[in-house]
Amino acid sequence: MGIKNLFKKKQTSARPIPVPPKPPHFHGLTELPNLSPLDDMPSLDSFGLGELPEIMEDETEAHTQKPLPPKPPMPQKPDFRPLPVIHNEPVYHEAAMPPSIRHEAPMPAPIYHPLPAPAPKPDFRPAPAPQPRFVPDAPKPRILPPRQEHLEKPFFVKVDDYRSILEGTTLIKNNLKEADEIISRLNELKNEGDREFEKWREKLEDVQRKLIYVDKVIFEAG
Amino acid sequence: MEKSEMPIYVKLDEYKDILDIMGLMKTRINEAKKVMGKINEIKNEEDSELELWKSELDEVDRKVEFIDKTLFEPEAAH
Repeated sequence: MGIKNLFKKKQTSARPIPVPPKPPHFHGLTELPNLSPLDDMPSLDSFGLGELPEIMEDETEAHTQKPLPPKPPMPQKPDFRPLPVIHNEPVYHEAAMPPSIRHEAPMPAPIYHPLPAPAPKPDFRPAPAPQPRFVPDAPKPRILPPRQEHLEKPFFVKVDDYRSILEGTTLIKNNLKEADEIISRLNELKNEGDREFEKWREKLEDVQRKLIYVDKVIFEAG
Repeated sequence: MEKSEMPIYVKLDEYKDILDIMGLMKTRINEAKKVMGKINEIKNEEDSELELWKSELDEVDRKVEFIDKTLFEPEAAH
């Protein structure tokens, strides 16, 4: 099958088309009611519109178009003379020119002095990066010694280092004892201060009461 | 190298525990420093409050002296 035969109309089959069935019978159409005669229609008077006005003849004539009056004749075109030709280039008379311009001396050639060599640009070095502020109390990250890798293995120190470690440990113990004693003394001082403050508060209340009494006596006497 | 010059080593069995304790001690020392700074601030505030109290007490003392003088030496007040 070729492309030409693709859109070719297909041949009808030899079988005949069946006849369609008859339409159903409508029973209601033959039994429609008879229409009422026109005499039963309501008159215009029943709507209350009144009598319609009569149309005048002049009004009918106003709506018709009247013929326009004849136009006046057009004026004649004026006679324009041609303008004289103006030359753009001015004409200079040497006698009328000032003497400074009359004797045109050749312009001296400008003298160009060689410019001094530009100064070498200063060597701008980039500003140093701002250093971070030193924070003395900032906790330092704990740097583990490299021997941390050998934790599982037996560890040995020299005898001298061992003695230094022992001395340091003893010193730390003594310092801790002193710190403990200092804290005890500070605690005692604090308790003593609290007691003194309590005494002072009691005395202040006593003074306040006496002052109120004196104030009362003085003002009652006055 | 002679025998007397040979280094002698001491074995540390619980090296890891020692390192942990050392780190803990450093942490405690830093905390103690912070506490000491706070105590110092409180002490300074206390000193300023005591100074203010002392000046007020002196003023009250002067006024009491004036009242006492006025009450017990009326001639001197004129």
